[in-house]
Order: sequence, then structure tokens, then C-alpha cells
Amino acid sequence: MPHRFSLRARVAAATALGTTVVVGVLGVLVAIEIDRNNLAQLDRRLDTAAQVLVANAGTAGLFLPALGDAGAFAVTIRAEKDGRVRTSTPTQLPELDLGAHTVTVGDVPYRAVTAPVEATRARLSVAVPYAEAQDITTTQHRQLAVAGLGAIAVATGLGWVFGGRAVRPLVDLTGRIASREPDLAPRRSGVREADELAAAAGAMLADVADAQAATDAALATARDFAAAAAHELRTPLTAMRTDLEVLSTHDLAAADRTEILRDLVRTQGRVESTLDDLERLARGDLSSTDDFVDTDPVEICDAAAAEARGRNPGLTVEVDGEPGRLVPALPGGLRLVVDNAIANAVRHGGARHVRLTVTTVGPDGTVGPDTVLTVDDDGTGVPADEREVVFERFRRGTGASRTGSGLGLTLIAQQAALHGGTARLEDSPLGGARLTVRIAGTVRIAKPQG
Amino acid sequence: MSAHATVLVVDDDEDVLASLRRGLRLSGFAVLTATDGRDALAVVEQQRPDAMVLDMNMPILDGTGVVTALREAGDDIPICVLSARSAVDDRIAGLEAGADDYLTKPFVLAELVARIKAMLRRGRGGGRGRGGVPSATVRVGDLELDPAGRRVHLAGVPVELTKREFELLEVLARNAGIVLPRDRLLSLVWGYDFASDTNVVDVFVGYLRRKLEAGGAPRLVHTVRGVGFVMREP
Repeated sequence: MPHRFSLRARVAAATALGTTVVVGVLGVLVAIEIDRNNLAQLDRRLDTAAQVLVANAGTAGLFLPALGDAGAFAVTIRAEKDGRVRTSTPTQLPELDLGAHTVTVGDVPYRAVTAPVEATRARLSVAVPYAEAQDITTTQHRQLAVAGLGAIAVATGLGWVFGGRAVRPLVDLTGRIASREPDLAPRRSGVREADELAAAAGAMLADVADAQAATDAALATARDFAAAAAHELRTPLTAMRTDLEVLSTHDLAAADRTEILRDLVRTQGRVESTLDDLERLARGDLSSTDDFVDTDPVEICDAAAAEARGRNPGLTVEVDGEPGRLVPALPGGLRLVVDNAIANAVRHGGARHVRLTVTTVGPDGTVGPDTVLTVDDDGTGVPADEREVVFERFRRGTGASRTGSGLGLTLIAQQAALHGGTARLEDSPLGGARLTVRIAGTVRIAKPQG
Repeated sequence: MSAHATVLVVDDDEDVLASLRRGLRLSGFAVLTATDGRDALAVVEQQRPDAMVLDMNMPILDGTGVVTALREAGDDIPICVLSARSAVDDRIAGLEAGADDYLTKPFVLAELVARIKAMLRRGRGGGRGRGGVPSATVRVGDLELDPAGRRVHLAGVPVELTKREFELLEVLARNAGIVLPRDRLLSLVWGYDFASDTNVVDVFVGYLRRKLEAGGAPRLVHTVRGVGFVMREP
């Protein structure tokens, strides 16, 4: 892991680096300028001296050689033609072109200015040690360096101070997240990134909370389902256990025995049908689009009606609908819907007459996008305030027989949902209940078979 | 004695009701039935059964509602509630409302028969100073029991107890300082003269503690691990 610095330290360091670059570049430029400026000043002074000396070149020749310069200055006058020295201070300058030059005389650098002496056709060179300019420059450079370093230090310090301020919203935000503050959004810090981070973190936490809630809800549903299923099975098992105990501990008359055995068989059937329905419910949850095939709902109704008539003597089951209109569906699922609807009508409603109607409705009134399956009966019906809750698992209507699994309408609702449709209960013109199941899916007219 | 005792069985499931009616009839009881709570209250009113077996989970008026209604009306009829094993809350609600005992479905019929017989025995002797013990006021620490008036005061403040809770507290108070095993308490309070793997004693001790310690009072009823319970002055 790389070394970690606080954001504030990084801001301060960035400020220091930036200031160093700026101060460095400016410093170098200023230093060069100082250097040049000092040299130009020296040259101007030498120019002035040269002009004074040129004006007095005649007399200068008399005393120059006698002058003890002590290395502090040098004046040399040479003939213009051959460069021969006419007169000079003890420190003698070499032959130079006109203008300012830096020359070395006896290991000491000098700054020299050479001017023509018109009257005597000579050239006069006057020089002072270069160090004279250099010393001022060095002093000024040193001051410049000190000022630059000071600027960097001040900038770094200010970076630290203002960086701390800029970073504070982030520090605050970290604290709020760490203390699990539920709502990170509203506080405005004045730092856009911090606000954006707060909003993003808030959104993420909300997503996490939502996912958690969804998981909790799913778990609660599963728990409820397990508890309800256990309860549904335990009730008939209680009856069976009591019956078995009576059978095994009492000396019973034949009539009693027969009655108990009949009850036992019925209760056992009840356990079985509850398990079957639970299994169907689980299987329904697993069905996929691959299981959908073109199905004729009227054909399904015909088959279910025939079987229901056989199982319930005296029951009238009519089927009304145009055969040969195919809809993508789960044939087993549709059959389950019709079977359960008829069984409910008979078992809970005491119906003697059931009518199954299949219509395909559409905007033009002929073949439409939806198929509607209606199951009417002449039974006792379902009270208006129970027509929705009875679709829930293990919810039985008050008028319903207690011996059902409590899953019949749940299975119907599940199948309707699987077919992209709905299921609902209403009053029937026959006097009992009407179950309407709507199935989505494009209806196709089957080709007449040869 | 219970040869002709009348037991009311209340359950909304026809199969359970049919099997219990038959089982209890063959065990020597006269059996009445009801399929919901409202029905049950009507039967109690009209036919005065000696005991009641009550399913907790019923439409219209549930088991808790029935127990509450009866106890509020001052009816002491012994009640054994039935609940599905998973529905612990049901059972607790029933016992708190004043039921005497509970069984979870599915249960052994013989166990139910034994409990009903025990309840009938207790029901007849209950509340009148059992075993010839004079019904003088019993005091343990701040606790004051008046068996004659069935009243309990803790540091002068009245405590509302159900019948069975009172009887359990009375037995514990009369035997203060003596550790009472669970089966002894079952026998003294519930009249069980048979082995039974019930935790009804623990459940009721829990209720007593909650009511007695509600105001931050120190614990009176202590658990002796592996043995039973004892009342000690704090």
C-alpha cells in the first residue's frame, strides 16, 4: 500500500510545488535581469570615465604610469594604427575593440570600455574589476533567493490553512457516513465535490437499504409461507392422529370403525391435495416462456368439463366459445385454472350448474389481443368483501368448506399472472360466483385441419 | 367423577372437530362442539360445559377473544387451548388472557384426556383454600396474598393475576424457601397426576415474574436449575 497523506497535506504540498516552480522561474529571470542591469550600470559609469579621460588624454599620459592603481582600476591608451601602448596605469589592459568587454588581466576579470581618442588617433581603454558589479549582483541574488523561499513557505502555509477548509466538508461527510447518518443529502457544504459525494453515497446507501428490505421481505414471505404450509398440514394430521389413537386404544363397534376409517381416508386425501397444490404452486413459479405453446382454450374447457361431469354426477357443465382460436399458453396451467374453478364452484358454492365461456375480444370486436375465460356458477357465491383476499395463500372465504387446501384460487391467480393476465371474482348472472381470467397473448386462428 | 363431565370442543376445522368429538366421547366425556368463537360463547352460555378445549386460530372470534370474554365475565371454566406449534404467539396470548393449559397440534389424545380430567379436578377444588389450609393472608417480603379474596398486593399495590397465575403464586408463597420441582407444581397447581412433557410451569412463572417485577421490584420467584422453582424473600 502506498504511503498515505491527508488530503490537506496534499493540497499544501501541491501549493508548495506550484509556488516553487513559479518562484524558481521568476527568480531565474529576475536574477538574469539583475545581472544584466548591474553590468549595464557599470558600463555606463565606465563610459562616463572614458569620456572624461578622452577629453584629457594629453595630460593623462603624463601621470598615468605614475598612478598607483592598486588593482582598483586600469587605464591604457594605445595607438589606433598599430596598437602600441602610448601610456598606461601599472595594470595594463590588452588591445581591445571599441565598446564594453570583459577581459582578464593577471587572473583578475575586469570590465573594460574602449573609446577612440580622435585628437591623437589613439584608443583609450578604462577598466574596473568585474567583481565590482558581481558583488552587488550576488547580494541582490541572495535577497531574491530569500524572498523566493519566503514566498514558498507562506504559500505552503496558506495551502495548509485553506486546504483544511476545503477538505472540511469531506471530513464532515466522512463523519456523517461513519455515524450511519441515514440522510446524507440535504446539508450544503459549499464544496461541489463534497455535495456530489454526499449525494452519491446517499443514493448508494438507499440502494443498499432497498436491497436489504427486498431480501427481508422475501425472507419474511418465505417464513410466512413455511409457517402457513406447516399449519395447513398439521391440522389434518391432528385429526388423523386422534382417529388413529382412538382406533388403537378403544374397542369399537363396527359402525364406529367404519366411520373412523372413512374419515381417515378423507383426511389423508386432504393432506395429499394440499401437498399437490403446494407442489403445483412451486412448479408454476418455475415455468418459463419456453413452456408456452399455441393452445386452444375451448379444447381445454371441453376436456375439463367432461371430466368434471364424470366426477360429479348431476353437475351440468356447459362450454361456450369458438374453437380453433389459438393463444400462446401453458396448457397444463389453463387446465389447472379450469379444474380449480369448477372444483371451487362445486365444493364451496354447492353449484349444480357451471358455464365456461371463452371469448377473444379486440378493438374491432372480432379477434383481439386478449382471451377471456369466464367461469359462472349457480352456487352460493363469494361475499363482495372477500373477493380479493381469497386469492391469497391459505385464505378461505367464510362460506368456504374448511377441507380445501386454501390454495385453489391462489393457483388460479398465479396462472393468470404467468399468462400476463389477471383473475377476479364477481357476481354471476347464474346466481353464484363468476371467475374471470384474462390471458394476454396474440390470438391466432388455427388452419382448418384436413 | 368425570364420567359425565361435559367438554366443549371449539375448532374451525371439521375434520379435527369430528375426530375430537369421537375421541373424547369414547374417553367418557359428553362432548359439545362449536366451529367459531361466537358459537363457543353461545354454547357456554346455554349449556354450561365443565371444561373447554379451544383452538386459537379461528375466524370471527379467535381463541384469545373467547378466553378474554369468559374471564372478563367472571367465568372460571377450565380452558385448554390448542395451537399450531409454530404459532407461539397464539398460545401465549391465550394463556395470558387466562387459559389454564395448552397443547400444540398434533397432540396425543390421551394427553388431552388426562389434562381435561386434571382441569376438572382442580376446577372443582380451586380457589377455596386447598388441602384444608386456613385461608389466612400469606406474606413473603413485600408480597401479600389473600386467598379468600383472591387478591395480591406487592408493596401495597394490587397485582392483577389470572386464576391459574394466582394458584401458582399461592403454592410458591405457602412454600417460600422450599424448592418445588416442576412435576410437584404441575400436581399442586394443575392437578396433574401423570408424567407430562409440558413447559406450562415455566410459561406461567414467566408471566408471574413479568407482573411482579413490572415496577422494578426485586425477583421473588427464582429458578433452581435442573430442579424447579422457589420463592425467596429478596
